[in-house]
Amino acid sequence: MSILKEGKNYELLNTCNKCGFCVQGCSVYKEHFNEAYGTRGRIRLIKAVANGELERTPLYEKIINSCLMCEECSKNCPSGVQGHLLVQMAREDLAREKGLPFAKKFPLEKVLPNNNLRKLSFHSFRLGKNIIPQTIKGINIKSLSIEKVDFLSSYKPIHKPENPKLKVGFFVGCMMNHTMAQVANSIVRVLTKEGCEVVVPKEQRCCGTPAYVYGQSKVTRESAFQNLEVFKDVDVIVTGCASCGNMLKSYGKVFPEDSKEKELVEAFSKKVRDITQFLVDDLKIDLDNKQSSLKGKVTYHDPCHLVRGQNITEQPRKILQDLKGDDYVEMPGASKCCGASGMFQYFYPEEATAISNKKVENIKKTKADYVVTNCPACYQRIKGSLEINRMPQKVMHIIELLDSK
Amino acid sequence: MNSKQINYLKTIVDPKNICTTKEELLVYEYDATLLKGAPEVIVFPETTEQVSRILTYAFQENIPVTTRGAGTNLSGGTIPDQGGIAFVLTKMNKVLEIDFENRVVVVEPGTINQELQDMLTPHGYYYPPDPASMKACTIGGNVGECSGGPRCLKYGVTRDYILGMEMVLSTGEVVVIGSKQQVNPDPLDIVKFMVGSEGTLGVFTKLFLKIKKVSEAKKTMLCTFDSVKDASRTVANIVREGIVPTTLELMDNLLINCAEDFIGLGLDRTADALLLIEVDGLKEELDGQVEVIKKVCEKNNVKGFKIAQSAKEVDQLWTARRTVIGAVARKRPSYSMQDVTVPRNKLPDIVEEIVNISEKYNLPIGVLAHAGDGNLHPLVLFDERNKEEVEKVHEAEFLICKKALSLGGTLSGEHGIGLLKKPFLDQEFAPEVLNLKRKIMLAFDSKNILNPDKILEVGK
Repeated sequence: MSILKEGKNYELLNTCNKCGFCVQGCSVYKEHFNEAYGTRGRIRLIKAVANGELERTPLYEKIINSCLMCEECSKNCPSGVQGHLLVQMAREDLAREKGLPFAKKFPLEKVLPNNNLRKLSFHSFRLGKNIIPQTIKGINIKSLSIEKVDFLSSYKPIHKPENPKLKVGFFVGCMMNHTMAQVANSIVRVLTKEGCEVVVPKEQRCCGTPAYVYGQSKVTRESAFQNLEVFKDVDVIVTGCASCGNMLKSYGKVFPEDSKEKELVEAFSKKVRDITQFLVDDLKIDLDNKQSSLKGKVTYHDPCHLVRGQNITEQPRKILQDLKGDDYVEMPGASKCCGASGMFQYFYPEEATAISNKKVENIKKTKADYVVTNCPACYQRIKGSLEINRMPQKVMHIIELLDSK
Repeated sequence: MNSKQINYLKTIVDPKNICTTKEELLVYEYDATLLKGAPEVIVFPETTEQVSRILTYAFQENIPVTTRGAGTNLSGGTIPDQGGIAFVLTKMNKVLEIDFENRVVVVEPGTINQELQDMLTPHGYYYPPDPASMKACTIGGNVGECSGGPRCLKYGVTRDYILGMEMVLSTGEVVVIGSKQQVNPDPLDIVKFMVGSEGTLGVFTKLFLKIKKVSEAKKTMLCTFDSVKDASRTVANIVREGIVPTTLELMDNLLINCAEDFIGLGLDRTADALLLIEVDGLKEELDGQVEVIKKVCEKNNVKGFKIAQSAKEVDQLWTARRTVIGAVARKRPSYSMQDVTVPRNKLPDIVEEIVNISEKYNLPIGVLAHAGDGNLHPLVLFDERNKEEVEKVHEAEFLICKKALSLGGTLSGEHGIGLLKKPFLDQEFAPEVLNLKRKIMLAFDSKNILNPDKILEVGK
């Protein structure tokens, strides 16, 4: 039996009352203006597959995979329907019933969860990236800098402070590890300066987001166990990646109800913090006497998996507003998706480019000199799109503002 | 429809704007009701010329055309139950002109109500009709249904804001009726016919709307009562005092609890009824109005009387109100909503009857009302997969409609008749009146191809 028909899953599919409130918030719908590409339509189609009215056709697959997982619909639904989770369920069903195409299966199942293979593939990409086209399907390859040696391989523990306040495990995440080692180092420095002992387990594994969103929860469950193990001795687990944070905080949803494993991972999840959340809410760092490393106008982009995934909006803004020396300006549509959404940008280049261009337009309206965010995927996408549009703004990870050397 | 016909449509609009796949037909078979009916083809026109050429062809070939926008309709009016073309105007969504000097806006029909408001707000203007679905629904749909909204007690419904339109007749002719002038002494005002015509008389391609300046100040009050009767008496008394609030919204206990579950504002879960009252105008006149309202509330045994202190608080109250319908859905898998209207002093009677009906059929029924103008939205909660229960819902709703009519009310305040309320229509209108309506419909659409047999069976 398809998982779509399973008791609780099928019940969830029937909670949509088709009011249509979700549709206008859906960035992908806004590129098509066709009901099939909005949440209400997707739910109808998933229900049709569950009821046996519709086969799992290539068009169905295209529609189901066109979701950004930005969670905008779930936030807007007055009936509390979690549209993104229903889409995830449909992808889980597709992966089981039809299998994933090689282009997704190989990286999701084999490369990302395997630290050596992942290193090798990022390394090969770095070597090859100058001989391939500099923009592929609207993705700016040129602007994507890949570390010669990734952060985890090069990291040397720094002196821990005397009488540390807390023992903090740093979860770096694949994108930051391979493309933003300087940011990862900044996170370690800032946490240490604030009196924490920072540990960076080398054997930490991909959080499992990419596998999860394409219906490979099995892979995510394995990641969860590994991460649980390597972070078992810390008080808090901090990350600077919105998507990793979102996944680590919700490992429980990939395990069956009332299972022993679910309880274990949920205890782990309770210890996870986004870096801004940790600094502002837990450490309550003194921002009034801190100088920003930037001068000029800064604006902020809310990563989907932070603003909706983790309800974090005020902490990063507090940092930007309270730091001395820069001038914060709110961006219109700050919380709209930037168009990256993992593999989405590669498989749906037209939609992704249009969505990113809207972000670029909104950035333009702020007249800011810097765009700050705290998700490596958003960081790279926005940076690439700004360059393609010949815009002068620099993109920064929020921690870089706090790490004035 | 045959493939020759569909291929012909592809010569009029870009083939990417013609959809016939099973997946897409499935998502155009519904609106926000429980009714269903799939089209044979979905067409997304992008220009007036395309609308005109498609209608010319549909007229020639006798193809039913069901026009729709965002599909948030609550009476089944946008369901293409006779097949043919689902004519989706979502790609005609531009705001063409905003003229603050003359207070006129020109929009294409697929413009989202909220997106228009967002363009007007920074300039201190707004478009008054504010249906609860404003974040999702289109202006074209609002005009087709003559949508109201909480604000319409003071500011009137969509009909009061439509100056004119460009539209395409069933034969494909493009006509402009009304004008952008505020004063328009049209001896036979066709514009008025078009508002609320539910897609049966023509297809709008441009709409000329009146906009208003935002009032200098407003006050929002939240009043709770131990009985629905006290709350509804308060409503009638406030209006008798000569005060016309912008809004006078009523929610019963079930809805208070649903709203609280969704938003969590700290509403009084034990109250039997809640009134959300808003007055606007000049700063100096508001305090006096609030004083009078407070006195009326006290006279009617108000339990809690609170004035919202900040813009954020006001916003939260309104979010609670606008989303409560969906929030109700958390209680049971399905809901059905009626739209009856009674004279405002008859509110207690209809509410009492609804409570009786709810008990008789053992169905939870929540009451949400634009109480100021006696417009009620009883929400019946059930499970659409339970056929027996669905039957009970139909019976309960029939009784609610009947009671509303017997109290001198009407079947529809703002959601239209569509398919859902068609069976009740002869209870409200005399046969001669229905015949007159039929003749008007046929005068516009002689072959009955535009949203055929919605509102009324026209016959050819």
